[in-house]
Amino acid sequence: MEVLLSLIALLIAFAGGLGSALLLTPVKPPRGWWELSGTALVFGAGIVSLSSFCLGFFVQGAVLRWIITSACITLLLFGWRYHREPLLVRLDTIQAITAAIVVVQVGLVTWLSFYRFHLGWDGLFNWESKARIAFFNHGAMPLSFYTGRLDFFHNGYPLFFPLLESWIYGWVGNVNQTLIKLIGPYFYLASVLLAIAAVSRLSKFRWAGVLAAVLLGLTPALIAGEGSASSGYADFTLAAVSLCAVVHCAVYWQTGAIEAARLTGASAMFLPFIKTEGYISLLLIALAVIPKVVRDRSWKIGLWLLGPGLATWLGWTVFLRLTHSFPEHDFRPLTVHNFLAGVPRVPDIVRWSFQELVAWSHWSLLWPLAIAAIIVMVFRNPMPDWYPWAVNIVVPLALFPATYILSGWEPVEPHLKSSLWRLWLHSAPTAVVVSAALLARLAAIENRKATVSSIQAPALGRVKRPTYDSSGQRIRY
Amino acid sequence: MWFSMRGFLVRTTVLLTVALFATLGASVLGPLFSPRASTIPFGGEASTDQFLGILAVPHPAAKLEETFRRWSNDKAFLFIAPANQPFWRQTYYTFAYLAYPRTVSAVVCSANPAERDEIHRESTPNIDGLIFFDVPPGALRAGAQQIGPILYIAPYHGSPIWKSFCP
Repeated sequence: MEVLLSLIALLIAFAGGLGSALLLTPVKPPRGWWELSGTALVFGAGIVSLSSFCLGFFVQGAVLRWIITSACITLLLFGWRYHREPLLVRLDTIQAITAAIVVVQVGLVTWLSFYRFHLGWDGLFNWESKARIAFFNHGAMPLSFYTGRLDFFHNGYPLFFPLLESWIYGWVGNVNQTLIKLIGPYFYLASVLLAIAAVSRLSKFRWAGVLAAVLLGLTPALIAGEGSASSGYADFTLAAVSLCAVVHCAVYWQTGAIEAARLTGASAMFLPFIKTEGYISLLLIALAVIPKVVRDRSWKIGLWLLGPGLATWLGWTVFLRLTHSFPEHDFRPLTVHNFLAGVPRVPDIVRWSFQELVAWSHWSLLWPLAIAAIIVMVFRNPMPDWYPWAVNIVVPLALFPATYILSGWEPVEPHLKSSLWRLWLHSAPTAVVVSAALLARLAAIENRKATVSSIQAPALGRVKRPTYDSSGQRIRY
Repeated sequence: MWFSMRGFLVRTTVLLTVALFATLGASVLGPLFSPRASTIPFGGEASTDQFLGILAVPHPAAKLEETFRRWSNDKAFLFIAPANQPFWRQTYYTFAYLAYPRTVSAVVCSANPAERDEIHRESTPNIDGLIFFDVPPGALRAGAQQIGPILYIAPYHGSPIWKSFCP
C-alpha cells in the first residue's frame, strides 16, 4: 500500500509537469513522447517542491497537499485542452526495443536503490533530515529551522530534493527511508528519456536512442555510489534537470523557437533550488544562450530563457539573507590573497583531475568519448549543433577543478578526491548524449538509409536543417 | 572498395568502443546484483538504524525517538563521547537528527588535548539532559536511563563545565 501511495505521489507530480510542458508549448510541443515525458518528470518534481516551499508559509498538512494535487491535475487538464495537436503514442520496433531497455534499467535502478544502498551521510543529514523536519511540520519547512540557534544540517542548502521527499512522506503518512529513494529512479527515467530524444536528434538516427540508454545505464557513477541515481543524494537530480535544460537549449539554438526557450527557462528555474552547485549549472545555461540571444537581438526570448532561473536564485538568496542562515565554509571567498595562496595547488589539482577524468571505475570511457565528440562536432558541425553541448561539458570539466584553488580544506587532496567526481556527475548525462551521438554517426558513416523524422542521414557531413519561424513551425527545408 | 573498408573499420572500432564501455561499466555494476552482496532492510528508518548500529539495540531510531518524546521541544542535551570511539561523530549527528528540534551539543573526551573537542558550546549554556555514549555515567548512573550496552541518557539541570563529565 505504501509503495502504491508513493507512486501516486510521483504520478501527481508527473501530471503537473506534463500539463505545464504542454501549456508552455501549445503550438509545437516537445518533439515526441520521449522528450515530452522526460521534461514532464522534471517539471512535475519542480512544481511540487517549489509550491510546497512557497505555499508552505501559508498552509500546511492535508490542505497543502490537496492544493498542490489539485494544481497538478488542473495543469494537466488545461495543458491537454489547449494542446492543438493530437497526442498519440506509436511504438515501432526501434521504439519498442528502446522502451524495453528503459523499463529494465529503471527496474534495476529501483532495486539497487531499495536493497543495496542506504541513504548515506549526505542523503540522511543534508537531505532527508530536512524532509523529516518538513513532514513533522505538516509538509512545510518551519521558519524556526532557519532562525534557530544551531546549524546541524547545512541549513542553507536548497529544498528541491527534501521537499520532494517530504511530499512522498505526506502521501505515505509516515517516514519511510526506502520509498523516498524512488526519487532516484524517477529522475533516472527523466534522464534516459531526454537522452534518447536528444541523441536521436543530434545523430539523426532514431536507433541511436538505444545507444544513449546503454551508455547512461553503464556509467557506474550515475547508477551506484554517492551522488548516483540509487544513492538518495541530490546530485543525480541536478544532473537530470541540467540535462533537461541543455536539451531544450540545444533545440533553441537549432530552431530559435520561443517554445524551446520557454522549456529551457522553465528547466533552468529549478537549478538554483536543487543544490548550491545549481548556480553554476544556471550560469552554464546563461553562457550557452547569451550568444544567440545577443546575435538575434531576441530580448523577449532572452527573458524567457534566463528570467525564471534568476528569479529563483534571487528569491532563495534573499530568503537566506532574511533568515540569517549559516554560510558554508568549504571554500574561501574569492580575493586576490586567497587566490594567490591557492595557486601552488594547481599542479596537483591538474594531476588529480586528469586521474578522475580517466577513472573507469567511475565513468567507464565517458569523458574521453565526450571530449572526442565535442572536438568532432566543433570541426564538422555548424555552431548551433555543438555550442550549447560544448559549454555544458567542457566548462564544468575545467571550472570545477579550478574552484579547489579556493578550497578551505588543508590539505586539499581529500576535499578534491571526495567531491570532484560528484561535481562532474552533474554534467555526465549531457556527456552521455554527445558520446552516444558521436558513436551513432560513426557507426552509420555509410548508411544513408536510416532516418529520423524524415531527415536524410547526413553521415559525418554537414546537416541540411529545416528552418523554423519564431513560433517553432517549420517553414523551409 | 576503399570506402567499404573504411566503413568496416570505423564500424568495428565503434562496436569495440561500445563493448569496452559496457564491459568496464558492467564490471563495476555487476557485482552489486550478486546474491552474495548484502541486502538492506526495506522501509521505516532503515538508514538511521544502520547509522546507529553501534548501539546494538533493535530498531534504535524508533527507540530513541520514543525516548526524546518525553522531553519537551525546547530542551538541550549534551552528548559525551570518547575521542577514541570511531563512531562518535556519526552517532552524535544521528542523535542531533533524531532529537530535533531539541538541541544536542557535544564534548569529546581525551587525555590528549589535541583530540578533545566541544561542538556548539556557544549555543547551549544550559543543559537539560546528558547522553553518555561509550562513557560511564559515573555518579549520574542512578537517575539515568540505559539504552543498550554503551548508551545512557540522564536528566541534568544547569550550565556545567562540560569536560567535568569526561572520565
